Amino acid sequence: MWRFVVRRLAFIPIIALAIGTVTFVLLRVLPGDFATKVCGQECTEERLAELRHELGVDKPIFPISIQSEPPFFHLNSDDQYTDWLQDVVTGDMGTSLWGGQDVVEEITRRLPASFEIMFLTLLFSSIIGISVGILSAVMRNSPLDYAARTFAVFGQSVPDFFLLTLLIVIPSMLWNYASPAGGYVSIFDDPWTNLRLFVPPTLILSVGNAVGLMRLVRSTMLEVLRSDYVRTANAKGLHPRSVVIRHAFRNTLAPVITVLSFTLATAFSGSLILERVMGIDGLGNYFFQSVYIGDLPVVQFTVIYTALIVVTLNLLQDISYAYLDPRVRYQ
Amino acid sequence: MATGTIALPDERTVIASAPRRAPRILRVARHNPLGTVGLFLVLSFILVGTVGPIVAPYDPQEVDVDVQLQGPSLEHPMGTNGLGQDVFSRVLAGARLSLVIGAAAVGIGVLGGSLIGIISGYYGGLIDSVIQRTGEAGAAFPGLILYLTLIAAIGRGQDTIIIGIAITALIGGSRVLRSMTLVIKTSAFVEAARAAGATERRILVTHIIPNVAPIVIVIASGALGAAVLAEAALSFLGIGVEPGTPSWGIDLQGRNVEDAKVGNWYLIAFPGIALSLVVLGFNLLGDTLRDVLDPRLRGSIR
Amino acid sequence: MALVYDRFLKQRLSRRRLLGAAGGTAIGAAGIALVGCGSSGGETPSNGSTPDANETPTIGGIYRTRQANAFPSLSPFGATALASSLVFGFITYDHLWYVPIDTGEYELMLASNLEVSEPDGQEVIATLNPSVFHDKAPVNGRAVEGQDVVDSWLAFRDDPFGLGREWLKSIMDVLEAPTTDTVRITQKEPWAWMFGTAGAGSPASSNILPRETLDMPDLLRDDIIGSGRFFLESHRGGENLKFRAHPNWRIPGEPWLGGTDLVFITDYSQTEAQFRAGGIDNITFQNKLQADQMLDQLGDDKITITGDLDRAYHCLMLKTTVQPFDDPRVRKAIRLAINREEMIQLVERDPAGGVLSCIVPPAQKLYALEEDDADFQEYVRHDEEEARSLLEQANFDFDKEFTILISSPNEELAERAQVLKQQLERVNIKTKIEQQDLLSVWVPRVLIQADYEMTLFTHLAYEDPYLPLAFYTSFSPIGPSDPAKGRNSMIFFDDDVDAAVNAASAELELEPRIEKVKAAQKVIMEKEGPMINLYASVNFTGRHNWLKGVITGRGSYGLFNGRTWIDTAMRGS
Repeated sequence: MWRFVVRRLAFIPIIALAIGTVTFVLLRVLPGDFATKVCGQECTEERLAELRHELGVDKPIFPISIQSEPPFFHLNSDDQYTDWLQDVVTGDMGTSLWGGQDVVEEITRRLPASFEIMFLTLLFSSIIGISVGILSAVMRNSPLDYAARTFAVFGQSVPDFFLLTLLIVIPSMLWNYASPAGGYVSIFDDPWTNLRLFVPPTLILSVGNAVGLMRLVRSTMLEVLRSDYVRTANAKGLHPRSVVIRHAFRNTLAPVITVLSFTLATAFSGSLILERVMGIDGLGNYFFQSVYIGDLPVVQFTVIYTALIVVTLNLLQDISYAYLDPRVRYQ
Repeated sequence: MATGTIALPDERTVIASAPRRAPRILRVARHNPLGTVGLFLVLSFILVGTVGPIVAPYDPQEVDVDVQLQGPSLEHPMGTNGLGQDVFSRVLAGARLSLVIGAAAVGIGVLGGSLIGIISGYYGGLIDSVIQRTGEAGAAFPGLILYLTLIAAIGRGQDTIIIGIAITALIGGSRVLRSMTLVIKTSAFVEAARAAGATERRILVTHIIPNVAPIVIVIASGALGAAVLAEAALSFLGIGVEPGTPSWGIDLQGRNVEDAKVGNWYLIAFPGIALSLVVLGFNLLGDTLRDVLDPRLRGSIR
Repeated sequence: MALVYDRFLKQRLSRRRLLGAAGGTAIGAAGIALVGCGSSGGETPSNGSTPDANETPTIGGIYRTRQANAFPSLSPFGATALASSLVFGFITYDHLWYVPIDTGEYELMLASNLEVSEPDGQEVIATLNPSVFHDKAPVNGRAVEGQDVVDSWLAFRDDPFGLGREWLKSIMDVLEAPTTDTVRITQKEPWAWMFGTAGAGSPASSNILPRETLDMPDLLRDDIIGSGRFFLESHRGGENLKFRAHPNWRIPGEPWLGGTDLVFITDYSQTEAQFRAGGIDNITFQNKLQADQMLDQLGDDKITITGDLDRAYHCLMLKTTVQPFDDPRVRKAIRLAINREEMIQLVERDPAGGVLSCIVPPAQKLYALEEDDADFQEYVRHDEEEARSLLEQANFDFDKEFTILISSPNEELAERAQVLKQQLERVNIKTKIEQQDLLSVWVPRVLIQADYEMTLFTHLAYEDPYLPLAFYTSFSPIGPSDPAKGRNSMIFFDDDVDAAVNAASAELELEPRIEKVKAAQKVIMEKEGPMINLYASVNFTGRHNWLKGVITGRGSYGLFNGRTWIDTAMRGS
């Protein structure tokens, strides 16, 4: 078991490095370099060269460059990749090219908002998904079950950006209601406003996320309910509800964790639309803007950080899966 | 919620079984009414996408001052928008756009991904490890940055969207196919074939491929729905097709929303319903296909 | 005294010309509209009034208005300064003077008195009113001195990213502070537009900062220290700026507002929802239909709607080094292919939503050509047949697809571009539309470096004809600079145009200057100037009736009068 974990853990930094390098290269081959953007009115060739030097983009990209005469490669004493590696190791994620703010600070500032979105989405999805899934399985083929399954199918089809727009338009037209403007307010400062801002959109979107979870829970539960040990428990005369809770539920956990971690991973980028439509300044929106305007340090840092989260989540998921289902460990 | 990300069955939930014969269509249809509805929606979508723009009464981009913001009528069954464009023609053209982008992206992505997955799963070893880890890294890579990089490199437009979605589908598809291949590779009848002396190549062709084919179809149908949604989402965010191009995503934002609030509900209702119906169709169809081809997969996440 | 400037700045708008404006709209006024953006904070509708004799203003209410875009930096210098300057250039900073766009007569602000040399006004000596900066470190509320004015203006002059600093760089000669409370300015030549936004009255480049902060870029980026009516109390990363009244403002008892809150709302639907709910005090609608609907919903006892002719105007700019835009026949063909009336009706949703524009926009009533002028008629004429034949004659390459660049986010602009594309297609010109982020891509690439083929955009609201004319000259405020020829964003250099525009700027008498401005416009039209002016929109704005004391026709400078107030009893907060 531990060897399994350690082996997977070892991969994480490798993946991070790989992703970081790929991003690094991709961003530097982008046409339209930043220097020209900020050069301004009095842009001359000298000024451009100066700016490029300041930004450090006039150095060669890699420590080794290819050349046409023997020995066909040559070592660079000063290059961007090494600089970047040094920065990463010392924890210096740079400053935003656009406004000069420290990248880590900017991201930290937006973390609470994004975190709250992810948390609420997960919370609502889980509650709705699991409870409806269980009820639906236990009361199989009842009207509730059919209603839930039909709703599930439809719920997965409607685009979330459409729903969010409706969420703004309809309350406004019917009740003159608007969600609080002015961006993010911490839940500790003003809980009511904070909840008014975050709960309606995350609730609406969670319903869609919950659908997948609900169906999974339902089907897994159905399978488990049919299985031998549950029949035994019933035969022994255990109260049906305790059968459900103590036996069936635990065994549905494994696939559920898969779904939850999947939801968590996509919640990060999926929240982009929510943030843009609702006007919340979170990581999704920040990231989008930064890529759009080519703000290299921000994008670099965000990509690595996202990748790390996803990979770590995968690992956690693998571990919990291995823990819950011994068959997996021996794969 | 339909988020526009390609969500494919995670490899972990793929539980293999012995290969099945194709079941009788009619019996299947009767037992799976939702699936039939799905099939009907998908076929309609394909039909409309192919034929629609030819029979559309108006040019979807032509502006016309005299018919601005008119409600549904005989001449304009779905009304007209603020620039006097016929909504019905735009919906038809939007279907074609979605179909073309979806089909191309999924075609390239799923086929390519399946090939990679099969090779990776079948041959195993170093190739497999490399491909699998790359796939994990690729999946962890935010699609948005990949997409925006593509835009910067090759410009905005339909081709870029196709390539972007294809890459995502490729990564996802390869992972699923890999685990499927792994399972089949170790199954009893493959071992028997090997014992009987069949070459690796023959095993691949006569056993592996026919058995993963149904999975590929299932994935493709799911991916197609997701691709349609992805194009809409990207256009909605303003980084998709050129402004003015008839696309369901473009028609669901911008001034259409403003005009809709003043009373012209049909401007967003029709594209929104069309989009939802298409995604719904693919979902239903995909679910039923999964159920039919491999009931053990029932209930796995989309 | 300042007779020279009195004479030529008195642009008293005659009633006759005003009432001729389209749709019977209010006196020509404007909101300051950011290029490509809608309202962006600080904008108030006209058609208010100072309190009635029997109404007592409540002091201290906080005015709340929408902020559509975040400010990456609060500094008045640098690439991002344009946005921020326009929004709070007049709220937090003080200026020597100001020329309100409706009266055209300069009003003294920090300057208490001007001594102007006769006969051509080349030297101006301003005496300063006693005034103090905001009480923030490291300035700590000290007195404003002449040297602060001098150092600030020189910093603006030397800012390499600044747009529109031509007056500072080429016309202003000497700038010094002979004593702590005077400033002496001399110009190299007689210049009629000194006091306007293109000269020493610009909200972007005549702000007065404490001189010790001028080389503290970190401070400037995150904070604003000025001596204006309001000081910056707080903000969150360039959003939701909160301003509060300067306790030691040089006019005691003012401002009547307790402060301003910029409420950050990116989405327009949200803005409408906020306005309905009373979360913001005013709003700029996207078109008349929305204004009508809002009025229906809330009623005219609650809100007031006004329609004002915008001083901003829309244009299509062509780069002459892109074949075949160097051929005047092609430019003329494009001009003829455009159907302005159709464009207005489609994009503004109402024929009364826009007014045709020639080189000088219609809101500048004195200087704009009359609509019945023969050259005006020719300029706005629409004739597809002739356009097609001109293109044939010029051997136009019909296979080539041109790119029209527009800034985003801006939905009307996107629609306007679509209409343009369709109209060009009718004469077989193929185009495609591409959107670019306004501040980070479009401004540097298109405006500054002229990296485009065709671009559609909206000019800012200028209050004198200098800039509308200067864009066609070799001393244009934007564009790449050619050491031999000059600066022009369309790479268009014509000596006749230069001469005509210079003649107008050197003419200090009003009536002859009007004639010269009109003549310059005709020269530009004759040469098929590669910037084709389309029309100016009529802005429909709404405000809650508790926002009172707004001065008619001041646009975003409406707050600037110090006597705007919120009837807190009516609003409830």
